[in-house]
This record gives sequence, C-alpha cells and structure tokens, in this order.
Amino acid sequence: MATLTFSSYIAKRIALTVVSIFIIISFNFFLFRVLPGNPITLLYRSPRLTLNQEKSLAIQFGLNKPEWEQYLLYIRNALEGNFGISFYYKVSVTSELIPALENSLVLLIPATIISVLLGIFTGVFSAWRENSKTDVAVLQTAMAFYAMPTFWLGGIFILLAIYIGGIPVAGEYSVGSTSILNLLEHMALPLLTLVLVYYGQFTIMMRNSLRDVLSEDYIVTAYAKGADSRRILYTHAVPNAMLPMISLIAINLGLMVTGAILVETVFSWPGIGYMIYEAIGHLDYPMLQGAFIIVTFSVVLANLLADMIYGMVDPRIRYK
Amino acid sequence: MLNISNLSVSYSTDSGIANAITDLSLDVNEGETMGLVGESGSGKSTLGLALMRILPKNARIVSGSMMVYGKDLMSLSRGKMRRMRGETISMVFQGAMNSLNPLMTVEKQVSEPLLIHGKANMREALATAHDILGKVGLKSSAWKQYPHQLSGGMKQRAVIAMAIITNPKILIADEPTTGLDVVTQMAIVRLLKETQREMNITMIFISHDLPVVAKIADRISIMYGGRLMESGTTNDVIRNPRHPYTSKLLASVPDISGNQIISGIPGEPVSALRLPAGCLFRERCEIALKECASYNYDVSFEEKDHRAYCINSGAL
Repeated sequence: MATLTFSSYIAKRIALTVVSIFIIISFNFFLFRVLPGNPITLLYRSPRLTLNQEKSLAIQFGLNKPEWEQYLLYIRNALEGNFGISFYYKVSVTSELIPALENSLVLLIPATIISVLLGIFTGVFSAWRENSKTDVAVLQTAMAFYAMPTFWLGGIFILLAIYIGGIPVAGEYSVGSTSILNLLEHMALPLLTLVLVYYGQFTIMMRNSLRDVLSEDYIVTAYAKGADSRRILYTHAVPNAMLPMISLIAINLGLMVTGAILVETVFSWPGIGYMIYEAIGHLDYPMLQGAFIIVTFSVVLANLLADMIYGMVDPRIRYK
Repeated sequence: MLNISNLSVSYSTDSGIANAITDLSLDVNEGETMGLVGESGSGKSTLGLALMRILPKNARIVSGSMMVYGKDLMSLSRGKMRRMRGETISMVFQGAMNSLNPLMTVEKQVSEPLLIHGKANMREALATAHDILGKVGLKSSAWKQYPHQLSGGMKQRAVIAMAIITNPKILIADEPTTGLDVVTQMAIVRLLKETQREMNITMIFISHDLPVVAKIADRISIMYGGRLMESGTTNDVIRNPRHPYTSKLLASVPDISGNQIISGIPGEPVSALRLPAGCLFRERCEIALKECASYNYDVSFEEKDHRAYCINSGAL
C-alpha cells in the first residue's frame, strides 16, 4: 500500500481548491453576461444618455472589447482583488465588501463556535440517555429551534427587546461609539438568534452520530475491556462520532455567510448578508458579483479546512 | 470453575419477548476449552455477552446463576463486575469485522486494558503490549498502524493480544474465525489453542463451525433455540452423537473425498419469539416421536460426562 504523507494530502487538497476557485471566478463572469440589461444604462440611469456617451462609456469600461478579452481582463482584475465599481456607491466593490465581511465574521464566528459546542454537549448528553425522557426532550427542543425561521425568531426577539427596553435591536454600534461593550450589546440579539437556530441541527447530528457509534462493535470491545462510561464515551465513542460533525460544521461555516442574510437584514447588521440584500434592491450587479465570490470562496475555504481537519483526525483518510 | 446453572435470557423486541437462552446449565473446568456450537440465533453469543454482563439494554437475565470460583457474577455490583471484565474474564470478538476502534493505533488499543485496570503506566503498558503483540505474531511494523491498514488475520491477532494482555482466567472467544479465509482461520485457532495452554486459560470457544471447534475444544456443548441439546467430551460428541441435531450437524460437514452427499438439515431454525412446547428440534427431526411434543428437558441420556436431551436418542 502506497502511503500518502499528510503534507502531500494537504497539497492535493489545496491544488483542488485553487482549481475550484478559478472555476467559480470564471462562472461568475459568464453568469452576469447572460443576465438581461445593459450595464451602461444600469450604471447611469439617465434617459438623456446619448448613443455617443454610451459608446465612450463602453470604451471606458472596456465593454467594446471582444468577450474573451473582457474575460482575460476580468481574471487579471479578480486576481488583483478588483471586482469593479459599485453601481450604487460608486466606489470599488472590494472597499465596501471587505469591511462587511469583517462585520459578518465578528457575528458568525462566535455564533458558530457557541452553537457547535452547545450542540455537541447536548447531543452527547442526549445520545448517552437514548430513548429516555431527557433524550426526547432535548431532541424535541433542538428540532423546534431548528425549524424556526431566523427572521421570525429575530422578530420576536426585537419585539421582546423593545418591550423590555435598553437592548439595542439594530446596527453594530450606536452612532459615534466604537467601544467593545457597545458592540457586544448590539451583538447580543443577532447572536442569540443565530445560536438558537444553528445549535438545533448540531445537537441532532451529534446525537444521531454518537448513537450510531455507540452500537458499533468496537464499543462492545471497549466494554469488554472493563472501560468505564467515561472512557467509553470520551476515548472511543465521541472521537468517532465527531467525524461526520466536521463536515457539517464546515458546510455550515461556508453557508452561514449567506444564511446570515436574514439575521443581518432583520437586525440591520452591516455584514455581507445585509450588503447582498441591499445590492439586490439597487440592482448593483458588481456588488452582487463580488459578494457571490466572497460567499463561494468561504464555502470552498471551509471545505478545505474540513479536509485538513479530517486528514488530521481520521487515519483512514490520511493513508489512501 | 465456571458453573452456569438454569440461565435464562430474554430480549424485549418490537414483536414481543424473544427467549434467547432457556434454562441453560453448563460447567466448564479450569484450564479446559469448551466449544459452544450452534447456528445463528441459538443463543451462543448471548451466553458470551451474559457472562461478561454486557448484554444490550433490551436484554434481561431472567433467572439463573453464573458462578466463577464460587462467586456469582450476577450478585456483583456494577463496579466490581466492570473491574472483572478484561481482567478476570476477557472476550475475543470477530476482529475481522469492526471490533477495533478505527481512530486508535493497534498498540494503544492493546495496551488499554492494563491502563483501565491500573496495572501499568503508559510506558509499561506499551512495552507489555509490544511483548504480547510479538507473541501473537504481529511484527513491530504493525504496532503503530491503524486497524484499516491491517489484514483480517492481523486484526484478529491484535484482538487476541488485547484480550490476553491482563492474564485473564477465562477467555470467551465469540466466532473468532468468522470472516477469515481458511488458512488464516487455522492459524488463529492454533494461536488460541497455544495461548490457552501456555497461560492455562479456561476458554469458551463459540462457533457455528463444528469441525473448527472439534480441533480446539476439549469438550463440546451443542445449542439449539437457546437450549442445550448435547454436551460431552469432543471425542464422545463427534464419534458418538446422542442427539439427532448433533448427528445432523455432523452430516452437514463435507469430507475431503468429495464422494459423500451433504445432507443439510431440512426446515427452518425455531424462532426465539415463538418457541414451541416440548423438544425444540422435533419439527426438523427424522426420529421424532409423539411424546417429543411434551418433552420437558429432563436429561434423557447420561453416560459419565456425556449428556443429551433427546428421549429417542436410542434410535440413533
């Protein structure tokens, strides 16, 4: 058996990631070419735009060049991180999207970490007491939260917050404030909404995965060795049950950026999701194009991360 | 040293109560190998799990006792029983299948019983594990490997090493050769036999494969439908079967000449969910009598150590 070392496994994954990113960027170019509408008229919504003005604008933006040349230019620009100028804000898309991405991550990373940890904890708790009343209660709660629409839960929290008073329900900071405390206050509700909605699926996944592992032969072997519950759970069962969790977490990490559109919109959180929502309203194609690329990048990178973690924890993947 | 008496085990399933073992009594002497033979569903694996008290949650030991050195395993507290598992009584499962944790190296898994029972620290445990792994025939290149990198036979050797590392008194081998090719099967049987002799272990060898059991066991017990059909020394049971089920099993084994017609046993095994009254085997039996329907499992044939539970055994 030819064994692949860990570094060559990683190198292979990175190469594949680069290929998929290239395909995504290319796809993004053609996607916006098949959309209806003329970018020039969209950019300058003026009925008084003369044909000559339109032509000179087309030359200015390189739209008079053949498609393949536009494509090459686009690729070059994309590699330089240049995704054009926003129709609406009239500044470079990147300069708007990068801060938005940062704002999203400030919200999403803690939300993911908390919901994953909470989900693992309650999932393990539930699986160990399979079919007991506790198990059923935990499972039903998790399902209920999982089924809740984000915007609905967010709306309920806003209502409650206004009723109670003193809890900010929109934005990232109060006007003029940049303090961490102010940020945390603003984060509380969107974070809570995200955590509650996401933790449910992690609980269900962890519980089912662990329940399957607990019926494996090697768990019976561990019992036969005289291992106590603690050792069975934490040395043998949980590490094996975590494997499918890694994929789920990674997929969610990527999708959360888009999934947060609703939460960010409801709470006016100035992240990527909110940007996408706004850009659709403004028909701001370059902004959407840039946002889509960031979203797909995050999915691809999250998958790369999952592959790396998989390679580290599962020996069966390392040596193929 | 191991006395099982009147043991009954049942499972509660969605379709009702399944009587896996009914009123089973069995004595195993110190240092001998008891071969436990039966087809799927005969309760032989349940017996192994019951002895370890690691039956699945839906199983219940209805009655009976299991004495080891005069101490009833049933009366032990959970903690005491746990400390006996893997120390006094060990179990070897089908290693070719899924008995090893896929995320742990072989040496780690093999050394684990020593750590669990506080017999060694990490370094000593690994050293002992290497020693045992060498003895069961695993080369040092395999010690740091993961289960999926090993062949079925190598995995089975690792599983055996894991079971004997604590010097157990009793070893239960549950179908240890299933899923292995014939050559490997024989190597594993030889290894178990040598180990058993060398360490003076009392072994219960569970298998559906009568010829394999005949090679390793000093005595054989035949189970059917959760009941004991016949037991005796290997020689007695093989040469002079006193139960029609045993003789049918023997007739189902092909011999090397190839001239003989393998007869097989007609009919289906009894279902543990609906055990018939009287002799369990009577519907598949060629020598069944009317009275078999009311047979109550009193010993009907007894000659020294050789017992059979058939009222018509004279007809064989």
